[in-house]
Amino acid sequence: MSLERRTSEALRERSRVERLWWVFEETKRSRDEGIRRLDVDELRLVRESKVSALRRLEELIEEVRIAVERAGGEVFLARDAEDARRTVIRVLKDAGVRTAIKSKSITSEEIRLNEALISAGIEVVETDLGERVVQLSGGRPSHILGPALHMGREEVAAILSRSLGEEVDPDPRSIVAAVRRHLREEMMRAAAGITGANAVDSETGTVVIVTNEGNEQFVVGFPELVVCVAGVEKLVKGLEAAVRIARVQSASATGRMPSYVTLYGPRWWGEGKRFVLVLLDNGRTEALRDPWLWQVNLCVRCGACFNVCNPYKTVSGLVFGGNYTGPIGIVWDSVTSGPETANGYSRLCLSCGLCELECPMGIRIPLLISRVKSFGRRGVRLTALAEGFGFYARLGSSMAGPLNKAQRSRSFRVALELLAGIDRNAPLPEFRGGTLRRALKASGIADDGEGAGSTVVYVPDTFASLIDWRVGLEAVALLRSLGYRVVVCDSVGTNMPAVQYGHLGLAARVAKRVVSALHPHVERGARVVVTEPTAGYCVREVFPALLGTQESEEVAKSTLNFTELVVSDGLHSRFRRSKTSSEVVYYHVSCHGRGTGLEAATRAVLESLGLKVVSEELGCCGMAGTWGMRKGAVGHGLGAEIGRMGSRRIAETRPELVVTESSICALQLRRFLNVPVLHTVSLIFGSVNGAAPSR
Amino acid sequence: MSLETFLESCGANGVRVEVLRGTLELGEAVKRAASEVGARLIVVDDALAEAADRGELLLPTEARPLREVDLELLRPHDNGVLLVRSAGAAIAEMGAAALWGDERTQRATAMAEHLMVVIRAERVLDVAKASSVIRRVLTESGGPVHLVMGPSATRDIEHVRVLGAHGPVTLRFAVSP
Ligand code: SF4
Ligand code: SF4
Repeated sequence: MSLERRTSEALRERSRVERLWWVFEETKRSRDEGIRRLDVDELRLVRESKVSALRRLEELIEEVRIAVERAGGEVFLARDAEDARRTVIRVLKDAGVRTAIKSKSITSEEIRLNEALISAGIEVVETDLGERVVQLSGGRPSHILGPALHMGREEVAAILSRSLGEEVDPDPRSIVAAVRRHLREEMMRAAAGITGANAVDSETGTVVIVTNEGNEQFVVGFPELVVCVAGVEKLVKGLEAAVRIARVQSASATGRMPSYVTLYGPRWWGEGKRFVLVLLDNGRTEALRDPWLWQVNLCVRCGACFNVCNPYKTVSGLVFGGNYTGPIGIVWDSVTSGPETANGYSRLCLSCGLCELECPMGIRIPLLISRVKSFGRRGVRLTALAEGFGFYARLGSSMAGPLNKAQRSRSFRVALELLAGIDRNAPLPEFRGGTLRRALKASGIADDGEGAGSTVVYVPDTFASLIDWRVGLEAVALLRSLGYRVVVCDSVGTNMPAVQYGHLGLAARVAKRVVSALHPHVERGARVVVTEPTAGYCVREVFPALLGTQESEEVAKSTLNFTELVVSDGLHSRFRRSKTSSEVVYYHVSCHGRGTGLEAATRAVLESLGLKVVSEELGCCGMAGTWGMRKGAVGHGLGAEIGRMGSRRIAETRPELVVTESSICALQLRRFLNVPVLHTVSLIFGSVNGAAPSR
Repeated sequence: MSLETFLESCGANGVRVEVLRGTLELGEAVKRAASEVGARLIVVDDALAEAADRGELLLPTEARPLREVDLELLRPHDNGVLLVRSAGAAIAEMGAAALWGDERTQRATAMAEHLMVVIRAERVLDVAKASSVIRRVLTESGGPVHLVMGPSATRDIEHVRVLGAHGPVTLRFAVSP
């Protein structure tokens, strides 16, 4: 079934969407608390140990081989999935194993081990509760830590009642009791155990595994033969490093320590047990040679990136997944199964950038995903859509009246959908007519040029220069009122869609052009200011990664969002509010503003205007530039559902007004909210000048 | 690493810890635990039983040494057994008790419905020191070593936390001097 169809079906499962959003919001809350308790040094130590292990991976592979063999165990290095499957089957068959019990292992999902074992006549019983339910259902796990999260209790109870031959109540306690009874017997009679690993100590061959259920104690403790299938990237030097990984993984997964960390290896207490370690390469060492993708090997599989990915939360890992699931799943799938598998669902990533902010290993997940997308051919086509939108914006700026009117007609929207791929139901902006450049001229605001005093180069985005130049005009007026000399640089667009849709060649060319245009100003001491966080994100985060030049770093360091500039110069107290009523303002932080100084700065400005600010971490509004305008379920359909879910949370806070730095977010939020939604700059401008807020 | 850190970590993990003033208090602590969880049988690991035989600690008279218990008794999950085990070490920053020993004891630990772990205060170590102790165990005596930080639990069904997914439904620690 096509991705479009699966997405569309998933969107119809409203109760699942509600449940998954709730689960991930809860998980994020407790995870945030737990990770705050963790010493930052701990994260640093773990990252360093992983990086250092990857740098000398070959040496570590040899070291673990010697350690395991010396202690009486066996090691196999599997080149690929097929090799690993064959090795495990051979080991089990040689030992006469008919039934194996297994603890949850994403790596074994990667190589589709269960299917292979069953075809070879070996019964395999998953012992993790969720994984067992998924196995009995005949489906695939939807999350790396909670395989059955996509299922409701009724569905689970029905599956169990069918498979276990007893009536199981749709109550989590009854469900757990039923699975436990059935699994305990299975676990105590199996001849072999199969595990994955959270880390493997190369010095001793010790496997470290994190669990909460305690099934590992059975999988490792009861059978005579235990096989561990682990990716080579799990190797680290020293037991202490391995234990630290377990600690960080748990803190970042749930915010709590797990109930169990099991350590086992080639030497057993007592006689008669056998240990086999299958180290799997399957694209990992090749990824190490890629300038970006190598980072995937740092992943400790904590699942934190899943919690903030709104497309994933909405359609679940059944759609947002291949062999792996979720944000980093796209990269894992590309590395281990090939870009075709990953690009089967990578389009669901709308490049909000939020997953990166969660990753305890500092993996630049969105950029890695863009890299994976660049291996496909769709990138070029989708960028064309974005460029088409740029053309449309230029058209709108020169013929606003007719275009605004046409946008309201059904036949025009159908034609636009056919010609430009813009969904007929997607919200489109009203054109103000004209351009920022012309509006500045009409208002008698000429470029100040560089000179004495603090110079800022204002880079307006497409919205502020072509669609609704009011924000640009207000920004320039406010900056001048604060005493800045303002140079408007509207000839550079940052072209986020090129990154978003994986057209990295074009993105690099744009980056080069923007950096060359801005760097001379920066060199002369000017700062760059933006009113759209995505433009700031491109200049600060993406361009240095794409170009790796000193110039790009310098421009990045000198670029600020509007409120960041004002607050960092201590000028926000100069904004005096002419109105006296105190509104409750909901502040929607746009994705690309998160994790920067923007959020705190905007709060400071709004509070200095006497506004009561409410804000929650709701993640992407579903629009993501042109992504939420795209025709179909993977685009407007999913974007609108995300917008609906997020807006409902906003409405619950009962705001009188909503502000956001992103004109695109504002466009989306206006569809679902009954209160005015303003650009932050417009709110400040209006407050200072006594204008009442309007939509 | 201080006992204080260990107690804090256990607090964060939601695990109850009793700090005993003397080893002779252990018997009372075990009795209390058994009555609170409604245990039908108290089983103590062989190390503790031997220490009690030597008069180094007091255990309730009804407690049975593991070596005298048929593991079949622990087969059903609702076996009503409170297993009292001694930890080889504990990790302060994690609030973890490190359990190692012979296969029978390890299996009983996985199967008991309730678990109480006795930790000697001087064996509470930081991650680095504990790792080197555990490394020695793993390379000289052998594994597995289980770091225990909570009862067996799952959130797999609609994220509702249910205790006793496979192993003990309750866990508590007693720190003895
Ligand atoms: S960038 Fe956003 S949409 Fe893409 S995977 Fe990360 S969180 Fe999900
Ligand atoms: S990419 Fe980062 S956040 Fe996501 S699972 Fe891996 S380590 Fe965790």
